[in-house]
Amino acid sequence: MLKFFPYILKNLLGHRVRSFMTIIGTALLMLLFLFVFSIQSGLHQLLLSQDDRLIVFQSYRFCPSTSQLPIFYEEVIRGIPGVKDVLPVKVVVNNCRASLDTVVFHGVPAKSLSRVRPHVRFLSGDWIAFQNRTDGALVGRRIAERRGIKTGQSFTVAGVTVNVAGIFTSDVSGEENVIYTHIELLNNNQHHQDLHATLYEVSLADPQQAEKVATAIDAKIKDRFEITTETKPQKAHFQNVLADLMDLIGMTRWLGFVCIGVVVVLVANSVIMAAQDRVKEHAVLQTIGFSGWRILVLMLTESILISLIGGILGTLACVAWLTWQPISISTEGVSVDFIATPGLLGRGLGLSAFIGLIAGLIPAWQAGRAEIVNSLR
Amino acid sequence: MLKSSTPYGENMKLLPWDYGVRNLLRRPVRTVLTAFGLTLVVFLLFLVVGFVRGLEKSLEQSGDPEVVMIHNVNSAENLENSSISDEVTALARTEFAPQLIKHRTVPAVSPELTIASRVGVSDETKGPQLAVLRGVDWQKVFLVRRQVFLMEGTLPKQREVLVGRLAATKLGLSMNDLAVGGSLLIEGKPWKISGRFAAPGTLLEAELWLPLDELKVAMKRPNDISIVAMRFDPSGDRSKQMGFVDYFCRNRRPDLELMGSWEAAYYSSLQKHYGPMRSMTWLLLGLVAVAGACGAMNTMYAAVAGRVREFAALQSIGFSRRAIAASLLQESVILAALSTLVATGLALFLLQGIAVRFTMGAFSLQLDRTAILIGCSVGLGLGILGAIPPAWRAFRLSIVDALKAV
Amino acid sequence: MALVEIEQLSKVYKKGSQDVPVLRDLNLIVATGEFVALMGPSGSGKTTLLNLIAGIDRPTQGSIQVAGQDLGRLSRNKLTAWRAQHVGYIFQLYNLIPVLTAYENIELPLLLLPISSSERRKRVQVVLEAVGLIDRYDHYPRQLSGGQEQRVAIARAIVADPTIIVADEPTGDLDADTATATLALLKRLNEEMGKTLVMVTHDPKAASVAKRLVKLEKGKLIDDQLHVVSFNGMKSSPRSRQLASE
Repeated sequence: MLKFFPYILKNLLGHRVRSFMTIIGTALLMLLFLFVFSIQSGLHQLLLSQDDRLIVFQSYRFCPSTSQLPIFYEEVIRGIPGVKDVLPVKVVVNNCRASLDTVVFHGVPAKSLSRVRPHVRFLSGDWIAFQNRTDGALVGRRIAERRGIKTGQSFTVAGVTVNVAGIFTSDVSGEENVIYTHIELLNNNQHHQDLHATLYEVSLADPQQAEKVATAIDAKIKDRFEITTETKPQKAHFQNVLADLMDLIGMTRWLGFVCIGVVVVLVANSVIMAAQDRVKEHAVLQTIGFSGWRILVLMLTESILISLIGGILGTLACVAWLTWQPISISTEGVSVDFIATPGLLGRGLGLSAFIGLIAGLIPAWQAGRAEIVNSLR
Repeated sequence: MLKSSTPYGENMKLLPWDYGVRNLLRRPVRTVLTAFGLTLVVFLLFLVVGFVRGLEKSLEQSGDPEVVMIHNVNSAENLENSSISDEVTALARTEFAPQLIKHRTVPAVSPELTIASRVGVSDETKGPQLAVLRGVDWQKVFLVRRQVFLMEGTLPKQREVLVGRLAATKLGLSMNDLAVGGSLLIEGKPWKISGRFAAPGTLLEAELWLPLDELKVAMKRPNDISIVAMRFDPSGDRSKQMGFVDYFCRNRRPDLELMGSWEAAYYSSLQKHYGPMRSMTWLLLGLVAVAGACGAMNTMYAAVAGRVREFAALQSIGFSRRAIAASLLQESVILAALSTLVATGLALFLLQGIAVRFTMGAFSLQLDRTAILIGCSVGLGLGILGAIPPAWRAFRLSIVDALKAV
Repeated sequence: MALVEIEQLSKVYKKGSQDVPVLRDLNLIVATGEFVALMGPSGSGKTTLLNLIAGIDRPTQGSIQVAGQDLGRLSRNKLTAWRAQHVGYIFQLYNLIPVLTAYENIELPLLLLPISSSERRKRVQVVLEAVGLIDRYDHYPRQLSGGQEQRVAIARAIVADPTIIVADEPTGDLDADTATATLALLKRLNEEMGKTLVMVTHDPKAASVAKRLVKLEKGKLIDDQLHVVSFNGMKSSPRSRQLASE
């Protein structure tokens, strides 16, 4: 088949306008498809994230501002068997609603952060700078790029003024949209005993015991205090928080599928036009001795090639876009990154090739089955 | 046949109308495929425009232009975070009574407590979902919330709740789950559904309304509420009315940390939060439209390439290149128009009114006049755009070259 | 030795519900190395006969054997493979592939054979030289004159060393001088390379290049003459045979 490649390529180049339009159209639609499915990838990654953590939240609450757990709950939770570590987190957001430009503050005990976030890598600044300033903040890479934030800078958002002690990067989905700061700052620098946390992150000694530990925490707090809690694995917590976005994300899936439909139509139309233009040519090839099957394969290869080229361009464009302009959608303080994973990109390319196959199948089959004499006329 | 004159006094005959139509039927498979592709593109457009318009309209309509809300000064953009003393209700009634709408002698002042909380249903397989609860005073709320009306059941009594028409969508449940007579778990306790209300086109429809006093107790907020909503007399001077509110908040009771906002302005300001999302949406739509144009252009280029000699013959007969180009444009526009018509019909049938759950609320996809205008304009635009380059190519081809073409 | 043996050959086309007989009970033998011209008025069935000999159409009745193969018995795929090996077809309108150069057009039949790229290159060069177009190997059909295109078409028809060459009005689209040159080339193929040629033509001048003239009318063979090759006119040979027409 390789020896026929120049013929296939020349046919594509011989009809430049048609090939160009088809490739561009396919590229744009594949870009769109990959873009909308990159949020699926981000969601998938977020929900697949480590499940060795529990999140303790106030019962029946959702918006971070409505969950106010007293700081002394930390010691209570720490005393539960199976709990390895506890981190109180005060969450302040500038916008509770779904947005592409949310600022999320996580206020934590400054000295504990380095212990519980060892995977964080600094692009500038360090832990010491963060700990030494009561208004110090560590800014995630994505939000720093989005808002043009630099180390040493001060800024105010959602009534919170911070000084940037460092910018970090992280492989954990959504974490690069977070600004870590001191829990006291987000509590308006009240006395320690008056501090509140939005939630507690509980690290487990044995992740298999998650349900048991969660039940124990809720039971103990309910037994002793008025403000009750609801503890669940982090994954389940995210699923709850993001439930409101699911409709939107579901809709974007349909957008992606319709894009695929349009690509099939675009490529099929292009192949049909090619086949109709080359009726006589195919008859000549059959006269020379090209079998109907060979002509089918030649046309299918052309179809797959044009679709694949469009798919490759679309894939490259998607990667370039998400690299140059990282995008995240946030709600209730939880962010989902648009991630073009290698798996997604591979699936996109595979899909392009498959589209070329199915779009070209019928016209290629018809071309291969054409009667020579009628076609020559 | 249409006739028109050029500046040189010649007659410029256009090709017959049905020439374009018949040419579309010459290659039925191509025509149908292109039409199908365009239909999909325009349908997609309607889906997204409907979403954006639905969101925009629900934000527009949620804000009553006669209503002012008094809320916490620190929660100007997130009223869900607002917390003010419940004495503000009485203060507002006294302070602003002369400017407010009254029913008999009762001024339209509605204290409200808005809380986002998780709410469960009796079917435990369906886990608790985020709901927006609004505690209201039944004697007062309808004086202010004139968009709201009871469509089924009765107003709630003790431990009863009124559900909005889109509350089921918001909770990801079916209408049966929130049927009148059923129950919901709020703060771990069962509340009976006494009725259903409608507030067409507003975000209020996604809420659950409870008696204010009971909600305060349930949420352990005995002394505060979220906002006081007041309805001002529309015949009054709006700037003066807001002036009174500002004076009260800043000068009379600065200790309460209050602020007044026109409700319509508040919801308009929310629009800007969705600005990046809307821009992103339009960008994505632009990509789809360009792809659609590529498809249309492909078909029209093929139409030109396959008829070069035919055009030469037409020119020999006496038709101008302009007439031929116009005919090509006509073909493309007919195709696009048909596709747009089908897409519009499908969209109106399948998409109109579909409820979408979206943070802090739910709204219906809106294919209003603006949406249809946008969809149809883009659809027809694709037809024109798709034809221009090939028509230009046909326009530039001379008779001699055309006759030589194979 | 007979290369083509046609016995009681009939071909009927269907036009809607109507049957259109094109060839009726035709008998013909073409020996190896012959140069046969098929002539007749429009609709006489000469091109149909040519197509049947070339294996691109199938008879309705009767048998047709070419190079020892009964074409009517071959499946579609086997017929295609047989064509690749045995037939070189020259079209009136050349039918070159527009996106391929002269070289690539000529190479096309060789792509079907199990030979190396260097062998392909050698063979193409040989035929390019034979048709006098070695300096235009990289030209596209649109860059060639009609005569040059036809020479490329002839080169394509002979490059795979077919058993039989069929030509359908090879000079029909050429001016007089180019037609003469083309016919001379065909004559060389027959006389110097020993190729068997069957050519359909309207042109008596073209027919005069052939060694044998077969006339058809309304699907029947009405005349079959051997003649001395001459460009000035046809001379009947004493060995001509007149077939009774029906």
